[in-house]
Amino acid sequence: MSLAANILEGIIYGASLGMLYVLVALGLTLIFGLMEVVNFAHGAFVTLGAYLGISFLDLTGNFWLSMVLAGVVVGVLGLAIERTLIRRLYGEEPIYQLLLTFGLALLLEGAVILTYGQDNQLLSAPALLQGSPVPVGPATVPQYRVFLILFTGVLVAGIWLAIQRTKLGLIVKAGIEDRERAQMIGVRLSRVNMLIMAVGAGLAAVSGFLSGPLLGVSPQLGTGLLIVSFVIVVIGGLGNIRGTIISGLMIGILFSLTSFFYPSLANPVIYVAMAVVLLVRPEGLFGGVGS
Amino acid sequence: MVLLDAAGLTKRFGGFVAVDDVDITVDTGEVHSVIGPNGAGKTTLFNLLAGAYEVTAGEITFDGRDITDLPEHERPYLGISRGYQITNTYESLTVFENLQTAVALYHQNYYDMIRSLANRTEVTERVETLLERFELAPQRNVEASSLSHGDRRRLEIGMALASDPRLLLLDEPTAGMDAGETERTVSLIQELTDDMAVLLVEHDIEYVMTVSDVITVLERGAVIAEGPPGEIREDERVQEAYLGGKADA
Amino acid sequence: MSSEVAGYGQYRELLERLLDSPLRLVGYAVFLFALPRVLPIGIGTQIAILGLFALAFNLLFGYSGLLSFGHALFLGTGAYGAALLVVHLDGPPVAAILLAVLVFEGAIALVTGLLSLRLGGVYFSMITLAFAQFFYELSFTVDGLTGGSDGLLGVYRPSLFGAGLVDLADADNFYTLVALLVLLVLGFSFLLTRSTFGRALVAVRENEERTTALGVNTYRVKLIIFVISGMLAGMAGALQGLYIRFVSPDILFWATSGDAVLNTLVGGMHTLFGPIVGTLFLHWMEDTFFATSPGAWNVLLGAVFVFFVLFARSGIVGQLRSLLRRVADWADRREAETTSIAAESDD
Repeated sequence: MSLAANILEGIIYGASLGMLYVLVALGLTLIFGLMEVVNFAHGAFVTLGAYLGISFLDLTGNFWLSMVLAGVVVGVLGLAIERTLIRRLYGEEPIYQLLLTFGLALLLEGAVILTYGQDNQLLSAPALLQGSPVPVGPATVPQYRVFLILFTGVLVAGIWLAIQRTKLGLIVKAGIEDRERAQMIGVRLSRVNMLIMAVGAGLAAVSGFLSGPLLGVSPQLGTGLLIVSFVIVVIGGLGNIRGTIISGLMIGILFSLTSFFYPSLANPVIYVAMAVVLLVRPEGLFGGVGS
Repeated sequence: MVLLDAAGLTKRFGGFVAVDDVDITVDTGEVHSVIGPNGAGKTTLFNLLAGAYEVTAGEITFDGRDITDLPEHERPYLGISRGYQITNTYESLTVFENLQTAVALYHQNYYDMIRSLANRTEVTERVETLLERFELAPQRNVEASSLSHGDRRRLEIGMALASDPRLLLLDEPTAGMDAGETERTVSLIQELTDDMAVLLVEHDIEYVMTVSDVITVLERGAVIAEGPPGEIREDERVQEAYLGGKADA
Repeated sequence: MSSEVAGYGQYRELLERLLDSPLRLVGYAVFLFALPRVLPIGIGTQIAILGLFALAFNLLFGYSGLLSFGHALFLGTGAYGAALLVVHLDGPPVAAILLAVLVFEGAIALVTGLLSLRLGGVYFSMITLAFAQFFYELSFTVDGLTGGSDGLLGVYRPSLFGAGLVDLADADNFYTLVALLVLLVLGFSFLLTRSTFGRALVAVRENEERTTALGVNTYRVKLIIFVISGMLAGMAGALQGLYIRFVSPDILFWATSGDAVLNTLVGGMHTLFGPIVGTLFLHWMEDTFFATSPGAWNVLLGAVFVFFVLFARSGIVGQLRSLLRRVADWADRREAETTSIAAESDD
């Protein structure tokens, strides 16, 4: 294969992976922007989504239905956690919410191990997308990767539009920019918190399920994705929606390109990228909070 | 003698000019107040002088030395100290510990990891003096978060004085105080000026008139008048912009 | 009169003095002496080493409020460092290994600290976690050096001072070394927390803005405690590598950082001895009841931790302390009542 084909393939592979990162990081960034909570349990939502999805798949035999069900169930779980636990700590130092959600992450991961065991589970792409790879210019890309880019692209674009264009989105934006002021002008952020927590958890679950065919499903799947998401929001800025999307894609592509040419460096390289950003532009590549 | 001299001080936040080409000087031994309606840029000016914000343009000299870019944490060592508009104490520490912290971190080498702070008699003595002076001795073991509003404001000023500053910057020191507390604070401030300069930023101009030697009036980030209280009271632009505005409100 | 009303009664005063007294160190020494006699020495050694790790973590977290989720980085690199020195230098004296690891960890902590502290608050937690994950991934990348996922084999315990002086292959000797180091760190922490620097740390934790205005270079204060904490955590790592005589990437995994957080919060984060109590409690529980069921242990651990965050944030030691204070205050009130009744009947 030519170098150009290699690079193109690396970029496309990276974009598909990056979009999965974006789904996780977007929830993380919205939840932080609105509630000032760094949700450590977000990784557990990812893991839970993947495992529940597999169970639903066993039950229904339908990949798409399983994905939706996993997203909805985990979304409801996220909402319940926000209502019963996280809300008790609103207004306190963010460190305590981080600690609380860390405990929840342990608990949920333990529950997954208890139910499904510690072994990796196999999840394959739906039969519909297992046909021969798609030619893209000089490169060829598996159908599932192409689907991932398109599907998550539409999903992220939908969220973006919802935030930019709808009334609810404006409330979310106002809440992210200035929580106190939004409350002063009478916005009931309590409802919005519930919604965003549910949406964020649901997205994480969908991302977990969709990443199964790519990364394999293990109890550590979610925390792995969570740590990469931390890198992404450090680079893109917590609460910065545009920055999160761009830096998620960048990290995915950086990872893939490196793994094409220097496979053993692919995992460490994203942290080097973070260190460089911290050194050169500690405030993040895309400035502070905002969309 | 000119102690603090700021010239052409400007601060922009994005496209918004919060402080616009302000000149201000403070002499040793004087109480200089900055007044103006809400949003006039008083607190921004205050934070520029204290070093909490970076200056967009202009120059600040203190005692003949250029301090425009001096980090905030180095200014106390030249003799500049500040209080806060919103009471800013160590909430979970007691009154004694709050003052002890302020005294020790300024007067002792704060990188000392071995010697016990409690055995530093010179620190303890200073703290005792401050407790007496600010009438906080009865509350010495009370956590700052449980103090009454007036007591906390006095603790706040006491902490700012722990470094024996030559210039004390105070941001609305009597905000939220009742008449009695305000009077106590005002007489405190008047005592202070025996050996230092005080720069007050105030919204409420009532007591400013009695306590100040010089008053600077800000509106929309710019100086519209400056002079002794009597002059300021008579100034038409001030009456229109500030007093008149206030009467309408 | 008024100062007595606001001040403490005699029992409370006595209690505060006891709580603040260096006599506590004698208590810690007794505890460490008893530990391997109550529990099997293997578990005792493990608890002492991981307790030291939590202690190092708490110097940073408990006193300056900086929540590092990446302390596995120091424990892991310390363990690898010590193991590599043993394997490649044919068993240099352990004293020299510990010194070398302290210097090495100081350098790592300085670099990672400079970067992690550039952003405040929760970013610090995320960045430290990411740096630890970097070293975790790196341990697979440089498998020629570390043995990759197979781990590093062939580690043994040289004598403490070389030439066979103080044989550390002996379990009792090794435990004594660990216990002495733990005591040394406890002693240092005791001095530190009462010192001016200790107060600067508390001041940074409670109100960084105010502390800057008082003339403190808070960035440097945070960096210094980060480096000290990293060095001591690295030393715990060196002991761990020498103790297990095997090092694998697991030690750099995020869960290891999480252990320090869990042990410290459950034991008591604003206390000197809390991290050791927490390590003892959690490690003993896991080892005794859950060695074969990690899933159930994680569920219980997570639930216990959530409980402590919500309802008992000061941890076991902190809760005990406030209980003692309440008892002392109650005793003082009782006494005050009896005296006033006595005074009335005198009239």
